[in-house]
Amino acid sequence: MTTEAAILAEGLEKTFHDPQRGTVEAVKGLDLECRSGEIYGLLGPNGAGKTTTLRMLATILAPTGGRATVAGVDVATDPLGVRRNIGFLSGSTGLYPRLTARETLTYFGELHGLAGDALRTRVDELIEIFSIGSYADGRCEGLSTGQRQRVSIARAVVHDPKVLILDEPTTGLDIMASSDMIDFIDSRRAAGRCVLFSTHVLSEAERLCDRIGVIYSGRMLAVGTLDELRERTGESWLEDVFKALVREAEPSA
Amino acid sequence: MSRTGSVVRAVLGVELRQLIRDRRALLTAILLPALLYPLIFQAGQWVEDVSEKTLAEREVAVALDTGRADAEVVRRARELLAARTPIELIDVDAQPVFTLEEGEAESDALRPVVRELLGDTAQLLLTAQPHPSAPRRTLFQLYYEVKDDGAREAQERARGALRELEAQIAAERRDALLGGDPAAGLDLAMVDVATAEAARGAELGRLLPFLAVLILISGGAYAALAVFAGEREAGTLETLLVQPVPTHAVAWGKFLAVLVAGLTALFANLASLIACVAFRLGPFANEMDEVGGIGLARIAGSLSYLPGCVLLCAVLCLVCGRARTFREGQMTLLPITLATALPSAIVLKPEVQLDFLWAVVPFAGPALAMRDGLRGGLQVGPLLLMIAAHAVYAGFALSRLSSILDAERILRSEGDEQEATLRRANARHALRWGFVSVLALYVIGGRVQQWDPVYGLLLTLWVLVVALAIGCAARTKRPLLPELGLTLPHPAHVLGAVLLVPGLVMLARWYLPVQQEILPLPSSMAESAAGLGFLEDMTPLAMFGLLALTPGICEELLFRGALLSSLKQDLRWPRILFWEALLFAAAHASIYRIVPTAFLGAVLAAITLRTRSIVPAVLVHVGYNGTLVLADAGSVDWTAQTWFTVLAWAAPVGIGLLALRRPRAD
Repeated sequence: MTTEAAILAEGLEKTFHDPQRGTVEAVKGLDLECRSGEIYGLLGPNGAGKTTTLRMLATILAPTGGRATVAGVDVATDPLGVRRNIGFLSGSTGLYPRLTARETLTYFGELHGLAGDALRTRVDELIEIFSIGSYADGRCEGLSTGQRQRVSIARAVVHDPKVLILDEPTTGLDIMASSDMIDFIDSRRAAGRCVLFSTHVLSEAERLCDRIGVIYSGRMLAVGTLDELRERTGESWLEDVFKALVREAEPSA
Repeated sequence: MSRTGSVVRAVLGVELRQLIRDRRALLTAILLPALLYPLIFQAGQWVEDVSEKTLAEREVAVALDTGRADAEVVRRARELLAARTPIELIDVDAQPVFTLEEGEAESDALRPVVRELLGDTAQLLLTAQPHPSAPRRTLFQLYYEVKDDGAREAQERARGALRELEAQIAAERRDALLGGDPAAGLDLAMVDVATAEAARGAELGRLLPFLAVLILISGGAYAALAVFAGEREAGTLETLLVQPVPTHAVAWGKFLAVLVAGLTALFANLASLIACVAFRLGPFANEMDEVGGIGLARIAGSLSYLPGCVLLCAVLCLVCGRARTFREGQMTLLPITLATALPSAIVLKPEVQLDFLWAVVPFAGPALAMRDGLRGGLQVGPLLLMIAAHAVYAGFALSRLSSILDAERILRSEGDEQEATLRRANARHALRWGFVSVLALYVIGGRVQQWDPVYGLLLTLWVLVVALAIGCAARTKRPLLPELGLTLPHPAHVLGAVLLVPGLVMLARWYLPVQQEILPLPSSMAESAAGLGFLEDMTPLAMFGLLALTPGICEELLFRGALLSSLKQDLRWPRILFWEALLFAAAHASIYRIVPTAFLGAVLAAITLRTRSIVPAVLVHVGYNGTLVLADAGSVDWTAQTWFTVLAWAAPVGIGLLALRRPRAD
């Protein structure tokens, strides 16, 4: 494992103005460091601020405070530079129903600046790697959930990004598709890539993560390896570790 | 190719590929309408031809008893009747009918006798005898029962033959007595020197500007919904926004896809219509003398509508792009259709040509240019101004396109369904109160104004409307005065709003003659409006108080105060303006005033949204009503506006808009 920080966030904040709820602080001064070759799990309940954090790091949302860099590029000053270095995927990611898998990969390759033979070679390579050759020329609307998931993953890595940001990537997937996704995340570690993913499925985090960040109400409660978190809370199961950290931060919870 | 260019090309290619693969949309938005014109026109013509031919070929039988009449007249009548083949003439003895007629029998008594004489064969009985009061004339009587096409056809042929005979006899007698027709003071010969192409172009020009709007909306709106709302529904938008491409390049690619779809629909339909004209199908069958086209120059002239196409597609992208779902986007299509079709209605005024003033009116300029182009009378100067003006409008709309793909805005609007339902509660409350208020105005307000127009109006506005406003505001359980919009406005906003009044009055004065052309006020209503005798006895100050001050305050409290305050809790400004326009127009209960009242409702709502106070809207409303009520409309010739007078009206409006741009005090 290298020690280079692929993702670095310092005091990251996001505040929304909602007509109904007034000012909403979705993320409050969050610090995060994720290294190349590391799988970092962002663990927290619904509404904890996981998705907002990932969206800020993926430059979909602009932070209202703090700073963050991805692959050494500042998210606020050079969002396009950040996007060139990341692959983003979420559980709700869809595919264009009337495009084929090959056309989808070609399209996103073009958006990443690939063209001509380089693009064709890369698309063929992805079709080979993700074993989607048998349905590469079928429209996405006719694919099964697992097949779509493979196309989505291939789409996210069409430009071989240094950093992968995955927002609850297994949400809505069946067992086989979830298993494919977990295998894929695992494979990225070996490729020396940084993977930051959010989840509220504790078993996923337990199985995959080199380090876990526990996020609650927009704040990072604790960061460490599973053993470090167990040691800190005195609990052995991750579920109990999580509950102990939440109680520590908010005794009434 | 630059990076932006390659992104635009990639997005355009993908969007077009997806649109083309949606066969159902392709069929309903482009192919079907294009095929429908010739099919409908051809089928209609075929049905008409077949119907006429069938009737003409149908053999009819006419029973005759003409023995009592002048032999020469009867001979000529029989000749003319026999010429309308195929026809069978059967002589019968109609004495029972003559007997009944002499006794002035009712038709109930005649019916069985006539039926017996007609039997199973004849469809009509024709009798002839000297006219009882004019012995030189022959009285022909036709008895029939129109129960089927045969009887109708027999009657048509007999009547045609007798009318021809009557005309012949009258002409013979006139010539014999007077040596010619003394009533003929002059001979009129009309020679249309217009070419057949010009006539066909003019005919198409009356129709096409309207159709162009509808076709563009049918073709372009689906595309706009598919590329924006469809992207959100498919869950691909977030993925797209995280690609390393400029947002404006994505927006441009999508816009071009919408434009290509709209233009494809337009050209397909245009070609179809030109073919209908060329082959004299349907409504064009009787207008033209010969089969033929409209000429390349006129087809090229019709392309002057292109700036309108670009603007309309940009507007479609802007509006449909904000929709979260197809359904939500479809809700916006009717207002867009009305907003674009209404200015296009100017082509119905044949005396209005594309000039420098009309050229800058959105959608009216291109519509006139297309009509004049098809007529072959397009003027270059106004055409260039129209193109430039619409390029500016479209450029402005396109500059806003990137905001459609603003991730912050899109993602913030994605709440869970429960939250969305809760958030719509305020809007539902406002709309419920709005429609109840309109109903109350119809039922209670109408009654009390019938009782006494002046006190009835005062009671309606000061009691009913104000009570409805307070009731609506109080139900929200929020502080009453802000809920009624009664907050202190920025002085610049007050000034800005007041300066808009001349522009609004001018628009109203300009619009009234246009409305009179499209939807004229029935003469009975005009007379009733002119006969408002109670107004004649009032002083100008009292009239101002009754018709300007009172509605200005009371209506604003309800519509821009209580209702708007609840609407703005949940809805974005386009929807707020739509509902405000609809409710305000509905409250005035007149189809003939729907456009000006809806427009005024929307403008006043926009002012209130901008200024966060109803005070500026009250001033505009009072000023607008007051000017229209008290000003002598006859003192200004509204049809003879010059650049100078337009500038005199426009200058305060421009200053007013600038003043309204000042930041709001929060």
